Amino acid sequence: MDLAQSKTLTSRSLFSYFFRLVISMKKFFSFSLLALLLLFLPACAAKDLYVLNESSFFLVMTNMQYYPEQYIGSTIEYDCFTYELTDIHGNSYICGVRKCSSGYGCTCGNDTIIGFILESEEPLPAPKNQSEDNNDKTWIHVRGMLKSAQKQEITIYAYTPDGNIDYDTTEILSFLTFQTESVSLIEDYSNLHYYVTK
Amino acid sequence: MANKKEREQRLLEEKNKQIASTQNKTLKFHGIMIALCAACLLCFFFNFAEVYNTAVGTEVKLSGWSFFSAAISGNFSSTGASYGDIAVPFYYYAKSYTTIVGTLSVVCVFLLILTLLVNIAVLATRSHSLTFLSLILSILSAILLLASYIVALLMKNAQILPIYCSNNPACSIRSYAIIPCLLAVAYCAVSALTCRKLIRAKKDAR
Repeated sequence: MDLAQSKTLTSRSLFSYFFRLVISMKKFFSFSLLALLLLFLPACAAKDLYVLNESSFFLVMTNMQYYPEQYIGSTIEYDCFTYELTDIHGNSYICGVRKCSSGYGCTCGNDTIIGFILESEEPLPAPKNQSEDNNDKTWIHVRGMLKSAQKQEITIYAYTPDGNIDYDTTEILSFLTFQTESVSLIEDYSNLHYYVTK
Repeated sequence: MANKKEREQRLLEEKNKQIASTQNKTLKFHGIMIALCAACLLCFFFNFAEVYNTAVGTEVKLSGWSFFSAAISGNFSSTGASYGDIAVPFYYYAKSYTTIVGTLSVVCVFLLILTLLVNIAVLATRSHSLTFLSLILSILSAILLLASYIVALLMKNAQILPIYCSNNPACSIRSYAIIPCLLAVAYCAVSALTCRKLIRAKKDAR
């Protein structure tokens, strides 16, 4: 093998080496791009309908309380129990709620309710055992939209630790208003949980 | 005269051999560097910020990848699974800290990927000049990861703890960003050692 031949061979093998390197790099970058795309696909997908189920209820409802402007114009469906709030002036509000920890996800705070004030053209079902720690409540399925990102403040009398009303202390609850399109009573609520957590 | 030239030639060949042998020896260090870099990227699965309560454990958490995902998509207030607890409470109660850690995570991930590619290129092409570039990249990564760790811990100054801890003194913000940071420091050490060996081999050859 003369020098010219060996030089040609070396340059060929070098070329093939670089070609293989470029191909493998191309594969690597294509794979990385695909992985990134898959990672961000859920974020890019535009959502106009939010159907809250047992596993997503707490997370999405919490997000709605903190970032209501993101959900304005979207249709929301969720299962909840009716809860009547009466403010210090005697005005009553029917809410569609679930019970949860007041720290929104933490296990260190007191319990509270999470949901919306319901506005409906039809009469809403009356609450049952709303403050009891059991599942036997008036469960409804609601579909509708958030009326505004502005929260309505309701001043109520506070409760003592033993569950009685303390008329000397008041507390303010902030609720978003939900304009219902449809409300239906849930007969079988055995798979629904009145207390939600992450 | 001819003998002298021959001797010089032989000396030069020997020196070149010495340099080549040192360069070959340093290749294994690049293997270690690749492993450290990959480990660093894997450590992004650790919680870069979490609220830890001694009574109940971790209340809310956010991994390095969650910070990265949110920052690169600008979706800090989303409930997507890849974003963890970023929307509530981190972004809501500690907006600036969350944005800073997110941005640092994005830069860090790209730096680490670049460092990984540089090391693969060194192994593939045996071009040792890239070792110095990898050292600079690793120093930057270590600094940014340290900054992420510090900023994550500074979240204690935000409103997260009063909300999540109900004045429980045993409740605190924790961050495991220190682990990839330590790995990046280890990487810097290996990289610096490799650079030193290469410089010394070249000096000796002169």
